[in-house]
Amino acid sequence: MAHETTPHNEHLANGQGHAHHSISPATCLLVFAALVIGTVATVWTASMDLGVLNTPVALSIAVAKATLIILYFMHVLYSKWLTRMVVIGSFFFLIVLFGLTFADYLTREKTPEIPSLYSSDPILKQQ
Amino acid sequence: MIEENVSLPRIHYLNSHYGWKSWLFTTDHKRIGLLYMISITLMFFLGGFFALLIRLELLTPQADMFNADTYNKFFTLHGVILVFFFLVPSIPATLGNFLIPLMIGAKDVAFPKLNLLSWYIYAIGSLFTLWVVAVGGVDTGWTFYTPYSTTFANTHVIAATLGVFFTGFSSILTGLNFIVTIHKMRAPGLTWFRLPLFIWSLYATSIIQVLATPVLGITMVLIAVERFARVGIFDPALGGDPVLFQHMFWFYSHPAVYIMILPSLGVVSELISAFTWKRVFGYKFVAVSSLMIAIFSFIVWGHHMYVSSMSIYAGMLFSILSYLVAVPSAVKVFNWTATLYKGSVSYDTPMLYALGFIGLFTIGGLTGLFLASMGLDRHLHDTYFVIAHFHLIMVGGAVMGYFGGLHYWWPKMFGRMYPEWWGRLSALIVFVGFNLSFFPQFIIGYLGMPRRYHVYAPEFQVLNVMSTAGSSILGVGYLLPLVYFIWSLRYGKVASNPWMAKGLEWEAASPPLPENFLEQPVVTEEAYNYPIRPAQPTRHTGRLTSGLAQPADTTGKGREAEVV
Amino acid sequence: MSNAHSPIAHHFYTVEQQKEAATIGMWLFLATEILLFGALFTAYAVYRQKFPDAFMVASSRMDWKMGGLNTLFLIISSVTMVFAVSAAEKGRRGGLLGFLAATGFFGTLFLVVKYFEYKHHYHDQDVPGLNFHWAGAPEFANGAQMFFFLYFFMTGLHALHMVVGLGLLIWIFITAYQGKYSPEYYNPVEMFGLYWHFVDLVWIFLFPLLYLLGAHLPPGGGGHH
Repeated sequence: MAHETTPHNEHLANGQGHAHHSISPATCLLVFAALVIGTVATVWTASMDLGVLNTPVALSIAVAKATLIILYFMHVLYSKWLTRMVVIGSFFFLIVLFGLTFADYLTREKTPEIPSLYSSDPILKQQ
Repeated sequence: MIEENVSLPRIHYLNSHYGWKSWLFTTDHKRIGLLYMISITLMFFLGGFFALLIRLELLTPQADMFNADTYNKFFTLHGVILVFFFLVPSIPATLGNFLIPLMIGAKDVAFPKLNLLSWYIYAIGSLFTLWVVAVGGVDTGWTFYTPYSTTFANTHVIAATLGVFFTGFSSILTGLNFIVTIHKMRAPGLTWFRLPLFIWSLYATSIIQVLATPVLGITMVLIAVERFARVGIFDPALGGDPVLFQHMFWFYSHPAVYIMILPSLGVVSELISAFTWKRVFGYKFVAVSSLMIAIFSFIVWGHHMYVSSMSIYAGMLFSILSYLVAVPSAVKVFNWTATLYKGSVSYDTPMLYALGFIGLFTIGGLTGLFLASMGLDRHLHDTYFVIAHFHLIMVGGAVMGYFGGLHYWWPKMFGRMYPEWWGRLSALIVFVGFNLSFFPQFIIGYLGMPRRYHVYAPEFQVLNVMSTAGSSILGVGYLLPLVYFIWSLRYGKVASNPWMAKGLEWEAASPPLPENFLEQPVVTEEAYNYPIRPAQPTRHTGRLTSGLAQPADTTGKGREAEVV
Repeated sequence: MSNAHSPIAHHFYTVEQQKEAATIGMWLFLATEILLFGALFTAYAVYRQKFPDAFMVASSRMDWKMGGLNTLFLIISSVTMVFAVSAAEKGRRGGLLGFLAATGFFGTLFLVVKYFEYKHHYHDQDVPGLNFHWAGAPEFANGAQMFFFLYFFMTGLHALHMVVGLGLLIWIFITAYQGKYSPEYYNPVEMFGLYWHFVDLVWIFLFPLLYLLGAHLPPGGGGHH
């Protein structure tokens, strides 16, 4: 792995000034406008009866807003791969927690069909 | 092991400052490691004491010594103390704290004050738990299952859960510190695939500590709030779902098993390499398998819940995913075995622990596969088979690794050797005592004896007596090192690197200087760059005064020592 | 490098190394926070799936205008925090102090609104474990209690993070006033900014999931006493 730069070399190579990457006031205000519009949109869509779509719409807007905050306000757009990996990793394991928990809850209703297989078994019926 | 003719450095981390303040307010990772070592040793013997009480009661089928309530408290305290206050912090917080900066050529961990804070948080958690012990205990089992823990138990559940909550946060801070340290503090030239495997395993452990522990923390708070305020988040009578607790609890507590075992896997990789005088076979696979274990550990928790009324479709999914963990675990076992092949094996105390570890970890892991299959788990769930299985991993695995590591790095930590003969004896006693304790439990479990009962059917008595006898032997095996380690601090022979081991930590003084290295080391080779072993007769004759002095003709790259 | 005023701690070699370590450390801390709140969101999802109608009815008892106002306050305070960090980066002490004060102001406004919301809920007997009383349809009682428990637990934990954040903000403000920060060293300001944005981020999910479930129901859509 000779091609891999070591952390120390990295510092020397990049030197200082690398970290200066804060967003411009114009970008910041644009993001702010988008967040306000998103909030209004959340309230507006929630006031309508979209049936099953209510929650997906609300969550989509929330995810979009959160993404803006993470990318711009929290500088992830300009940060190193390691920071991005931490962000992606934490949301990945959050999805694992959600997904596998719901692997249980969403299939639980179907479970009782299995014992009925046994109850049609003539040997078990005798008992 | 070689005889060395060395003396202690004049100033090292142990004598650079004196007084209790220099310990309790230290930010030196080495001293914090020792603070942890003292605390977890206390917890180890406290938890072990409860284990002995359990085994004593189980000597006979009737209730002789304790009634059911007392017995419930004993196994709960045994589990809570040993899992959360000994096993989880054991290797990372002691050996990890001590060794990570030394192994990567840094002066300290990335956040030294946070490191000290994590010990204080651990201490607060321990005080909660000791308070629980003092005022009458807790009887929910270490798993705090609802609705018993929230609605029915009338013991000190709130204090116990808060203790776990605190020690969890201590664990998070340690893991966070280690990840940043390993990323940002490595010496120049120390690339990822030159790192010792112990570092890889602690890195994987830290990922679990950081990402899984918060879920446990909030779950413990929910239990405390539900008990305190009588609200029903897990109470079925109020619409709550007790199984949700199990999901949230095992989302942490299954990965927690890997928090306990992964550092031991790393220690054993170091030991196998040092005592076969060889690079670990398939270094990259062993390194990456640690990460795979860490990632897989998050997706298998449902195998604890097959009989909890969880959907059987989820059960099937979890069952299949659980088998995945066997792959990286097997990679490690096979690669260690391959490392032994044609190695220059020496049977010093740490190596005896490592060899014992490999056997017990393999059996513990394979019996885990039985339990991961849904059909067999119906039969074995909540029996002594499960107890035997996870004790093979947690005690036969994690504790053996911890003891092996302690014996290996003891001269590094204190500059003195323990008596080798006693070391080997205690390793042997631990191995024999352990097997006698837990192999009978596989059989009584398979025959149907459930866990967590203080009375049992008379036909199980013979095996239970064997198990109790084994646990007494095991207790002796654990007390012996306590005695000779303390003895060695004063009377042990001065040592620097008695194993002639490679790795950056052995290039520092023993005991290390307060700032670890006089100047920042520059790394040009991987941790296991062992030359061809000098001809056999020189090994134990003491002619090599230090591992660093190699004859010129042996420094060429050996067959197994290619630099990556 | 070793004098007492050097911004580099003794165990680091470069400013950049120290800064990167702090950034990764802070993000890892936020990762634990994501999982901490994530566990609660999971519990929320499980019970919402179990009691969809009760959650809707119970949520219609929330005042979404208060929640919306608080959302705005937090977004504004996030923006001022961005400006504070950028002022610190450019070494503008006056700008840093001003924007920190603005951030603190809107953060405090959030807590004031939250206080009045909690007070109102207490008055309406909506607090599980304290005075919960469900006067609506009895089949919704368990679900509504679950909703309000999650509401109080999640917003309470969020508010606790706000309180901690305001405490940190005061500390940052004082140290900034003392002139501790420079374009070379403003790690604490930036790290605090990350924390503050994260707290904002949690609220962005809490608002629609707690306040707006029943917004499409007709007024008095079920649960009112």
